[in-house]
Amino acid sequence: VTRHAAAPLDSLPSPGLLRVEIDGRALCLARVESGEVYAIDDVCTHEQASLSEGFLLGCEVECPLHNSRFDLATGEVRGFPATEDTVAYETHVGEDGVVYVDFP
Amino acid sequence: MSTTPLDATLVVDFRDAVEIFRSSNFTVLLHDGTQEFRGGTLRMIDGEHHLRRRKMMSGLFRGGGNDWFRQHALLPMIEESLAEVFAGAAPGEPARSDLVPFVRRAFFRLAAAVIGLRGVDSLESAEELRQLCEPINDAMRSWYMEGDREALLARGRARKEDFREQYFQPALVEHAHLKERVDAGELDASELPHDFLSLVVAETDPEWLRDHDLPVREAITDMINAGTFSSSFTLIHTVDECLAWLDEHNGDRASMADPAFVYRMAAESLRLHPVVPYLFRVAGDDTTLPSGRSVQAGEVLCIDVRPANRDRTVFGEDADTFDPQRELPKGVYPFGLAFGTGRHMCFGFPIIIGTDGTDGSHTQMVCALFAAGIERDPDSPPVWNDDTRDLALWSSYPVLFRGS
Repeated sequence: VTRHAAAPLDSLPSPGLLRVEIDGRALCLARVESGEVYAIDDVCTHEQASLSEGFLLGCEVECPLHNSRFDLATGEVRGFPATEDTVAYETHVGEDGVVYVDFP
Repeated sequence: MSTTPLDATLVVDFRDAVEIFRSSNFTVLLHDGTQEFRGGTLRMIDGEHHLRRRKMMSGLFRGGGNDWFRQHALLPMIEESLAEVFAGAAPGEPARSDLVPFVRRAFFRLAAAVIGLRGVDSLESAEELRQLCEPINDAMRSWYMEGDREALLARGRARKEDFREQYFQPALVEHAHLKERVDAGELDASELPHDFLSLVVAETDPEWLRDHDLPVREAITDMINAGTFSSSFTLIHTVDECLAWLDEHNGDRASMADPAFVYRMAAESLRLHPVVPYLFRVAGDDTTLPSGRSVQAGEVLCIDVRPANRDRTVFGEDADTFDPQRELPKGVYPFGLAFGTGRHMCFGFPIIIGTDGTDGSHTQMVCALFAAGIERDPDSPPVWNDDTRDLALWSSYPVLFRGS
């Protein structure tokens, strides 16, 4: 596992979504109502769309293009038309106020 | 290699069809000369502009917006229609109705709500809208019809103007006034209607400003036509398959109250009866499809969804038969390509299928119809519509409702 700095916590809308790139990998960071921060792959598994341009619905994100939904904690598909899960990453908020993402 | 009436290359292989739908190398083609109804609309454009408009329009269904339309527009019409037919039944007799206008009226109410038309909130007003718009729909599917096509197109053009004058323009003006009140601080933006016309008056797409007919075409194409036509007839096919299934399974109607089971029935019916068979695309560059078939730049392809949805290498050797318990390869929808796939996937998909199928309109409506005791009318068999080549439609589908 490698840990990567993703973004300062205070750069995330609360609640809201933010697209970041780490080592060429696009991620969707999500800060939900409770304050938890999640990270999943940013590209919808159904079609080329950026999930961080989508909509936060509790602990799910809805794709802006065709309304597919994904669980932010697990990456599981929660709504059609996507059928393939996305990848969810462990996140940590450091004492320096930065969100870190773990890549397996 | 097969050809279609357009001399396009026919595609019947499921995996080839998926690749064509998903690849940006293939762009949409308006093949049937209906530019004045469909030209420049969401389903007829590609590239960045398409993605921007699609995101904007998909916003109507986000966060449960699709469910709002189902619960506030579509399902109440089914309840009202059932109440009407039961009220009209003779004492001791089952209620009788024709499922074609019954269902079509409900989807017109839905279309009116998604567009933002006013005054279409009763059975009568939805029926008036349906009757005004049917010639528009006839014109839009005239490529599939026999006879004097120019006469159908001319009648459709005239009705399009009636639709604009009687429904679209008054609603547009009303939405514009509401927007002015928001701009003036008299109304909170959250009080604006959640519909297509609110997107238009918010000037969210510059094309809608440059071409004032485009929003009318957009409403006609995705809501009045696609939103009432395929939706209605795929629903009736689902009811038909469910009734046939019950005949073969000792009439176990209890299963028709289980949304998960009804969804599987609806999906299998959609796979076998996709209603609109042909979808056209043009290749940008030379390429090779998954089957190994070569495609040349500029080649016009016609995807025939019917055989693709019965591809035995995907759906099994019994692909032609109705099996709601069918096992599918990973990533294959149980309804096949009935809604297309990829970036141009049917705009109304979130309404019809919902998040997992059980909450979609078809499942909910079929459950409601079977809860009301729907049966075929033994005295009046369904009548197939012979006016349309290759479209799987009924003119009439008489039914009885025996109550719960």
